[in-house]
Amino acid sequence: MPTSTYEPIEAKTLGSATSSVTFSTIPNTYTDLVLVANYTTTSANVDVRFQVNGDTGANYSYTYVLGNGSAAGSGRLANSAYIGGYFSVGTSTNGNISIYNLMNYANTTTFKTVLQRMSSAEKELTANVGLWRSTSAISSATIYTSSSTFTAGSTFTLYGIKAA
Amino acid sequence: MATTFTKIADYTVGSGGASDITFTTIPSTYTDLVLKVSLRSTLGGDYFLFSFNNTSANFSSRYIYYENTSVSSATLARYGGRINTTYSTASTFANTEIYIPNYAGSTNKSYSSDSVSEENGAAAPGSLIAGLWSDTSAINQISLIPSSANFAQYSTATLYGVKNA
Repeated sequence: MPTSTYEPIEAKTLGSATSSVTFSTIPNTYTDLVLVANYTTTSANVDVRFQVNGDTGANYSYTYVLGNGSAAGSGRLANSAYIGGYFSVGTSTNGNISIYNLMNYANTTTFKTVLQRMSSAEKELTANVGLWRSTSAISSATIYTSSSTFTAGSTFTLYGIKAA
Repeated sequence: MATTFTKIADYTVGSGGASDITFTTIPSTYTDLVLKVSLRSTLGGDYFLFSFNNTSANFSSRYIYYENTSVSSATLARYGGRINTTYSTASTFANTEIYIPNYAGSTNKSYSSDSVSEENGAAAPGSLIAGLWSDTSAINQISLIPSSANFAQYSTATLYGVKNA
């Protein structure tokens, strides 16, 4: 049997509303991580943000392209306390999708890059590249809302990918 | 150990082309679906549309479109991604990856699509798409339909299932 290279690390389905979801004690045995979130929020027009290792300091930056179905734009934010934002989900009846790719997340030599795709067919979509200015291995990841909460039934799954 | 990322089916267009690419009897045993496609058209149609479960009703999407030095955003129901046309540089195909989470659940179905069509020519548009099928049925069939004409020979599509446990 071939060696499994794409493995679920942890899957969460919310039993009740919550404003943040954290994957803690992420093993350092994979090469890359993929985090897939499919969620609705209790209120409309909230931002969905991303942090790692519980770092709430101004140690992030990100650049994004955004479209809302009538206009497109781009921007960036340096010295930010999170990655993401500028993504305002629609009403809480249809699932939004956020996919985070963290390559080489466990190395202790380089800063960490995050590639994000965020999709709300009701509101807007973005593609972001984020940077966490730390050489620490990523051991936890948090997705949270700027206000409101993720609704019960929202799903969040962390996968690990092995290069060999 | 259970396999997480599994090929469900694949399709390669033969000589003569294909009017659509359809995956039928998709099992409900996975958590998410991933569709990876490489497409070219037999004429000028430069994008493809979806139908799920043999219906084209109740779709919506909004997308970002970028080309050369311009970027814009618009809406288009059922939009799946780009196709290189018969007028594109020879031997070039547009590539798209579509992620459909919780495809077998009881809520409306969302999808996220990233599509590129680089061909070293005058125009090489790409699209990022947020789509929605407002239907609570489990997805058991997916069709890709070119905006016009047919998919050209050597176009491919592969459907994968992803399990979260």
